[in-house]
Amino acid sequence: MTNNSDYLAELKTKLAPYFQYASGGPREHEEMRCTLDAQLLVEIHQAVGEELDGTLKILDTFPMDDIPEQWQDIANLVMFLVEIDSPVVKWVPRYGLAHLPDALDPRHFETKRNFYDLEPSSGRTLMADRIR
Amino acid sequence: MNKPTEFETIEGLRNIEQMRTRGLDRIGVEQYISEDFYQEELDTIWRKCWLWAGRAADIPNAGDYFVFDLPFLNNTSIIVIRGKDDKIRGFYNACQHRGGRLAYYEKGSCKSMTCTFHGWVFDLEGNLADVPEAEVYGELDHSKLGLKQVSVDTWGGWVFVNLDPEPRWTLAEYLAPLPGPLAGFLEQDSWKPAMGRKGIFKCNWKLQIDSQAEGIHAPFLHGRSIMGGFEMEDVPEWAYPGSPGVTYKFEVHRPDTAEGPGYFRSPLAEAVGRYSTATYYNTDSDEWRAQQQKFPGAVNQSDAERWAFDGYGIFPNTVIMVQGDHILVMRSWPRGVGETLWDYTQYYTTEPTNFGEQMARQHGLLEMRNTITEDMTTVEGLYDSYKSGAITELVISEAELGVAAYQTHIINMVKELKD
Repeated sequence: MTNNSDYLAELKTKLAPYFQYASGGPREHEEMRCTLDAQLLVEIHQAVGEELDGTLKILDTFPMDDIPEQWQDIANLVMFLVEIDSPVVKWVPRYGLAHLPDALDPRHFETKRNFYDLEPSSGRTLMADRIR
Repeated sequence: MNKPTEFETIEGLRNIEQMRTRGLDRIGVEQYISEDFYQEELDTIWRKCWLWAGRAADIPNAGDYFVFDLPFLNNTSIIVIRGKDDKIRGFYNACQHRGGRLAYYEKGSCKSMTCTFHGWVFDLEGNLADVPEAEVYGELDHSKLGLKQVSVDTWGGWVFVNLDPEPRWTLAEYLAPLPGPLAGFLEQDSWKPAMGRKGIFKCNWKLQIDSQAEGIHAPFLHGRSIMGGFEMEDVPEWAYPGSPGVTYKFEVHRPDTAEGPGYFRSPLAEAVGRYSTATYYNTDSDEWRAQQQKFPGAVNQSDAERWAFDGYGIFPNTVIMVQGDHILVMRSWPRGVGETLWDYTQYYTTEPTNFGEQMARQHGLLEMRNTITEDMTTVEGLYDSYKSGAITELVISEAELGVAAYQTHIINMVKELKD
């Protein structure tokens, strides 16, 4: 492997077409996985998977909450790979689908803010920000 | 119901004849669909059982509180608060003047509980401490205007609420079948929440608990996610008919494979397996055993080589799953006889320290999400089948002892708790 800058340049050349699909966090990744074409997911999975070990060697050297900006797109893609791994490895080969057939869409769930956040957003009375 | 040490244990495996003798091989569907029975549940179980409400470590200091809402019980709202004496108490979240809410947000901290409506002040122990413009109320006996209290107790670092001011069982009696060391295991301050989700389902609330009460569905329902070949011996379970608060226990053992940890042949799955934050089936037993050594006897009582996790049905509405460094708390909340809010929260004792560990942690969270979406796929269809009369009696195998034990316990507790 060449030095990190050279490697980053190689990665960006190869993976830049996919950066747009991986921006945002887990919720955005979930939405993207549910809406993108299955074959595109397979393509992304292969491209990122091929570079995973080399990428992790570098990403693991940075402070976890302070990934350098130039590596952020790569980091997002790796996290998107986590979202699409099961669909690509297990479901696309079997069903041609990037989701479980005859199963609950994961977007049915809302993310809780904390353990005590139980009211579904549709039933919630909107409160102003609390006075701190 | 029995005293704390007098609970019976029934094992499910190879025990269908005993189940048949006790009528646990068949259950009716009326308790899932009857409006009358649902009302009876509200009047008994929900008002007189210990309910899994929150975590003591979330309210570490005097004045810290969380709000425990039970909208299906006539919009009951309970504020659970730590007092100056370090004791945790629970009160109806209602000022004793005209019922104004004392706390509007899920969590917070205060020096006293002050009603925003007319300024009545209650101290952290619930006593009425001050009434602004007191002269306009005439003579007020403060001692009779303290906050209305409920019962609160803790186990394993978790806070339980019972609306009955004089519960029939202490919390210790209620949870007696749980292994003693498990309390210490769960009480560690290191448990931190990682992910929580909630969703509304058009089914009776008990169906969510049924969905976690047996593991024999795994090769079929989870054949597309876990993709493991579970044998019945991989998912043993036990029932506790004499216990008010612990209905069943199951263990899950990793499916046997000669291929090494996990099944997944992807670069990601193999990378995940190299990090200590990997969850679920990607980790071999030696790592779990290292975790178990800290609290001998807390988990894996059967000392299974391929042990993955333990699960317990905590009556009436909670299932907990306990791994070496990961717990999952799942709860089912009725919103009517045919509607349920279901939530789960995952906790870990370790936090990721680098990107790869974060990646591995996220992988575990998503694998659990995928598995749970499969569990939740069934619940509405089941309810429709019962409601429509398509099925009136459920056939229960020895591998589904937990379902029968739970449903039988529901009926028995409604009878027992009626005044």
